Amino acid sequence: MSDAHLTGATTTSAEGPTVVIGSVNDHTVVSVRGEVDMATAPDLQQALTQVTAEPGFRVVVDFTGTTFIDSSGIGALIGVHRSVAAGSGRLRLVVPPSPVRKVFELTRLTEVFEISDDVTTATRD
Amino acid sequence: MHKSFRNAGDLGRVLSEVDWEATGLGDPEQWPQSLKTAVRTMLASKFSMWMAWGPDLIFFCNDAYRRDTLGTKYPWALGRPFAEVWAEVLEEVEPRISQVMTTGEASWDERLQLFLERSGYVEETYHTFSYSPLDDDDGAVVGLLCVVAEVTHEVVGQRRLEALSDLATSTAEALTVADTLEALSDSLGRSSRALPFTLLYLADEDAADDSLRLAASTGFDGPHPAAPPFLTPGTGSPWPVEALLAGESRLVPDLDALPVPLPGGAWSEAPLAAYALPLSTGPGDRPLGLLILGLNRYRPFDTAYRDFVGLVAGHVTGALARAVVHKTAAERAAELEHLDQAKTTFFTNVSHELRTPLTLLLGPAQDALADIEHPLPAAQRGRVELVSRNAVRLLKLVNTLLDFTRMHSEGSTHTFARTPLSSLTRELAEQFDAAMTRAGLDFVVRCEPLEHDVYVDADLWSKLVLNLLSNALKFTFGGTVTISLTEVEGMAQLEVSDTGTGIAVEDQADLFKRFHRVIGARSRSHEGSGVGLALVADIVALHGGSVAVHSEPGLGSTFTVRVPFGTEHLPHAVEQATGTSAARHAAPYVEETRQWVGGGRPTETDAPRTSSDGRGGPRLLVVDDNPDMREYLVHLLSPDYEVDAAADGMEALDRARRRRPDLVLSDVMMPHLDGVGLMRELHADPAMTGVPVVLVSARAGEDGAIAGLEAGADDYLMKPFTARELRARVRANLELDRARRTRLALERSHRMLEEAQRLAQLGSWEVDLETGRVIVTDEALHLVGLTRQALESSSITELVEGLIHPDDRSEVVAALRRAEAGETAAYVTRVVRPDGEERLLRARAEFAPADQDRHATVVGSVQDITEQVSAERALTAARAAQEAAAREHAIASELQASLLPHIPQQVAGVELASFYQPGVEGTQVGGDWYDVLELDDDRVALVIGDVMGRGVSAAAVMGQLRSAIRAYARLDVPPHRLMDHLDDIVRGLDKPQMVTCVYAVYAPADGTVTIANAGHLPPLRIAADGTTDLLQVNEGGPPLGVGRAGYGQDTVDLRDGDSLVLYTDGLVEHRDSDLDVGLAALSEAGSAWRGGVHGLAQHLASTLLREDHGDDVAVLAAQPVRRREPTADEAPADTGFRSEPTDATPTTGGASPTMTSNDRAVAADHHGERDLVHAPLPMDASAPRIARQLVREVLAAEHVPEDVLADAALVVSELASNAVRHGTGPVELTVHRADADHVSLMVRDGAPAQPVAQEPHPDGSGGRGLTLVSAISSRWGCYSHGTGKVVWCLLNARERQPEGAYV
Repeated sequence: MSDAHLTGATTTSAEGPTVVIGSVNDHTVVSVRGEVDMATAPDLQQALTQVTAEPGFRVVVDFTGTTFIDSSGIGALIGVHRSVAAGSGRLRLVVPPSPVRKVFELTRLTEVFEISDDVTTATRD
Repeated sequence: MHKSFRNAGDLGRVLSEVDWEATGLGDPEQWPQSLKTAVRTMLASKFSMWMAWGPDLIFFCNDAYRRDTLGTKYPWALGRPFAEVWAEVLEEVEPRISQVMTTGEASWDERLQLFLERSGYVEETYHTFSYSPLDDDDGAVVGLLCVVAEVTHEVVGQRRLEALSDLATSTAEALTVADTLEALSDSLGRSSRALPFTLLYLADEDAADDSLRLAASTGFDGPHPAAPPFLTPGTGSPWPVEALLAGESRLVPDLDALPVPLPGGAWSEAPLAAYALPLSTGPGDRPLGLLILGLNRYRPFDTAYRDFVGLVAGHVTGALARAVVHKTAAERAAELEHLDQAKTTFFTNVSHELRTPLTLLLGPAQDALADIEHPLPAAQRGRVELVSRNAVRLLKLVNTLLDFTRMHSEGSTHTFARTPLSSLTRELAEQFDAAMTRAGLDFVVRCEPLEHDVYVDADLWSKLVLNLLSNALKFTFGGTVTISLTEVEGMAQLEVSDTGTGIAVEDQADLFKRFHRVIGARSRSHEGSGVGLALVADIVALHGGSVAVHSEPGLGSTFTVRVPFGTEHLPHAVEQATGTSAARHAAPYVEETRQWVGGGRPTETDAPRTSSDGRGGPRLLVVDDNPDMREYLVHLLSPDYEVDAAADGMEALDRARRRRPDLVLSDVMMPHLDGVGLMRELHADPAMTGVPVVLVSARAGEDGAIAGLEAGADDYLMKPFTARELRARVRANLELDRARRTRLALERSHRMLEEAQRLAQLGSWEVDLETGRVIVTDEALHLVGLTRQALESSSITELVEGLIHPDDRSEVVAALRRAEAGETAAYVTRVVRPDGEERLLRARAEFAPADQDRHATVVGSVQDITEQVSAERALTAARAAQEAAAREHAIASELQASLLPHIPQQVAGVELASFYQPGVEGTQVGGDWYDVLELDDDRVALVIGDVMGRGVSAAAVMGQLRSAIRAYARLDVPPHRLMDHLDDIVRGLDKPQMVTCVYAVYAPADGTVTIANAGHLPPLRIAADGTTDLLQVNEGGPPLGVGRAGYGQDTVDLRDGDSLVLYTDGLVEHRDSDLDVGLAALSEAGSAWRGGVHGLAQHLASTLLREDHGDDVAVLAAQPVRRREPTADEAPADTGFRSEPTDATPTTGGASPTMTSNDRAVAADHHGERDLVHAPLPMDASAPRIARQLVREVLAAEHVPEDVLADAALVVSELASNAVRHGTGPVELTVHRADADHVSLMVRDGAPAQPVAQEPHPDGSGGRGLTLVSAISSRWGCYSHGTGKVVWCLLNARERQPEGAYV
């Protein structure tokens, strides 16, 4: 991701930012790192709101670096799903097989979002 | 303006005006590109930043920094060396700067405390910031960029919030003023940053003036001139006392001018100002006191700070006001109690003081009069008769006066009860028969039964009748006395008429006044209190009636008393009479009249009678507030026993204490003192030891009965009961009691025997009464632990002083005195040996007179009974425990038997079989139950359920649910609705209970059964061809009590030849094997059965149960009555469920056990049941993370596989999020190892609401959490805990892949 252009950190916790926004192949890539729970989900929500604000967005949310997610994080994704469903843009998820993937399966988000194993696949048109 | 500074507003202008040549950076036009870029980037950022460049680290900052942090240093700071700009914090930040400049590594600091001088004073501030290096065009580090967020307001605000919350929590439990002050001091002392010192002055109640007493202070080490112990307005102190007392708050500045500096608290310097506030409970009230709070000199006293101190003062006032109110209430209660006691004492004293000497006077006088052997000479006889008569008169006077006083002081103690007035009056009148006859009068008694109910206080009525009769007798010398009771003008009318002296018209008006006596009237006696008729008038008034007299002198008098029917005129609630003893009241009156008419000693007919047939038999005390029930009980028991009755616990206690009953039979629910309370009182009274108490309760599961049994009732009876049952229970308990007493007597004789054997080890002693010397045997010497020399050189007085326990000395001395005087004295005393050991000795002492050889002595024996006594105590305690246990067991078995219905072989169109067996641990009643109910259209409802836990409280819940089901079934409530109702009932229970239940309705018309299941094991259907199905209900629900409305139900075929089996977990669960295995075995056993349904339940039990099965087992099997052979196209039955839509919200919080077949062999390991962690969680967004960390740590230590760890982390994260989001504090996490295979996670919070797995909301805020929990866990649920709830979740802690099983 050498061509990625990092634009900001939205949290200041000791573990570093939860969400980093960059771009790959003309897609905005939201990398979600560490644990997403009720403490950090607002950061994700905010980042997602930001990157899906403009119609025609092409967003990939990358959960490769995510070690944990619970329903608070899922809630943030559901929140953004409406603008996707409304056709105002495209949002794909990258969730490699892991305990995190299991949460997506249990909540049946796999049926709602396009989910890939890696960023390259997800940003391919 | 240089373009680098463009777009930076005022800041840009200031930067343009800096003399850059002087800074060493030169003309901005010539700056290296890197500096230009850095400055531009920084200025453009909305985030607070500053940077420094060059060898002198010349300072730049952006507008956000200027606004947030720079303060009065703007614009001076720009273009100056950093060391000059922030000289005051250079020491702290210097190491960070050199790190960045030398290594190029960025720094990171959170909430660093810095004391800045930017506002004209030293200011406490907090910053979260990072220094990062700035490179020049060649890549060398020549400057640094600081991104900073000033967090002073957050840090200080949080500190204040914590201080307030600490104040609130630490004073919450203090009840007294002293405790509150201590809690306040502790809490305020912990807030020494925000409040360097505090002074709390309270108004001095003892002082006459306005002076205030120092009640609490923090920050001060010792006395201080500014903290005097008393504050008085107008005398010298820095504090504006007058203004404060007038209700004003004041800022007190310039405290640094004080000669002795005030304490600085957490700071090294003294505060500059303080804020003083009155502690006002309301506008216009005189303040409780004053609060003076030292202020942090490093923070401005702004609105936030002012609000904070205001809130502190509010908390302090609130806490103190609460304590004062509590104190006042406590004092008032104590005062009332004291008054009450004084009154009681007074009455007791009066009665004793007056009655006792009178009795003593009367007794000998009457003895003297009755003495035939030594008859009194005539002259003396007259005098003694005078003494006797007057004593009788005085005694009656005292009694009457007491009655009178009582009536006026304790009006509320009268019991107005429906009374059979006619028989009571007749009975009272009969007491006068003999006296009237002896007086030569005709006595006519005409008491007709009344048609309406009359409510009177029987005691008072007796007095009324007796007074009137006694008066009639007194003033009548010939003719007739008539007493009649009739119904006149809607009232009960009592008439007592005589043909006596009569009363003059002028006297009639005052007749009913107190102490009025008719002067000069001819009467049998001149004795009289003058109170009698006044008492009559008072009694009548109390009953809302009237009294009148009609009299003609010489012809006679008629007294007419009228009392209304019904209760409306009465001052308070009425009760049913307990049957007063007419004879008891009549005795003194009759005794008195005997004096007048010259009767002798009482004859048999005059003696008080008891109406009981069972006289001489054991005495029972029946206690019930319901008059019908009480009468019924008395009626049932009086043929065999002497029965006394009381209307409530208080009365019963009183009666029991007057005469000890052999058994008490008491209702549970009663006014004043209920059955349980009565039992406790009886148990606490040593005189009532061993009196068995049998409680009668109105319905199964009544809380009172349960409490009573647990408090140790000997037995209980549930209404309705048969007469035979009642008699049997009473007899059994009396027998039990007799057996116990017999055994005790035996044991007592046994002990006496042993004692005799011990006598050999008696010590002996002798006291020479002339010399005071003491001689003892070796044994005695040994007992008291003295050397012979020490003992024999001491006098008896010294020995008593030195050896006997101080509390026993006077008794020992008294015993020795008695012995000296010739009595044999026996006593028990504690002896304190020289080594400090205390022994209990029993001693005897007697006098031995002097003879030629020796002086008079007191000789005695002494024996050590310490061990004996303690052994006896232990024995008694053990025996009591044993008896209690046996009793509990007996009651439990009986209760269980009475609760499980007898299942007939066939009901409507269904053949039935049932099986119940208590587990081997079944010393207590269990919570399994089954039931069968007939509904309309030949439908039959089958019920099975399981209340977790054992003991009477589990059984009580079971009873309650069983009755509820019967009630709802009668209303034909559909199964899923019925389950919702049961859920409500379980939620309403005092103690949280886990209950599972299946309710199935078989409809023969269409050959189906409709099932609702609340967390119970699935019913088993065995088809005619032997195939089996475990009937999982699609929309089944969690166990009852979880409180999510909307259980579902399913309808499935049950054809001719099919069987349905309901069962409890005891049938299929074994400690060392999986539930799946048990269910598979059940299916197999069911499939193999070829007999009819009648043997099915027994067959399943005997196939599946092992000898050591620990749990109770209940099985209910049902089979449609075979009407015809099924035809080929009807069989096999359709096995699919037909799911019925229900009107409830569809939910997914399923909690039925997982039943995936998993036939793996698992070696038992040794993971015992225990708590792995129990910890509080913060009430904020960090709770889920902390909970996950804890869970991962403890489960990793348990070697739980990785995938389970991930599940556990997810579940606990959800539970903690829910608790924080929807609950209230405190939140607690418990991780519990349930067994080798299971781990449970429990999160407790303070909110009572029950969690509900919801349809996820489209806004995404929630609703998914519990769905996840239920998807992952084996079971989950919720129960109330205290005022809050616990949400729990059970996880299978083994690896998911069978081949990788963890062993």
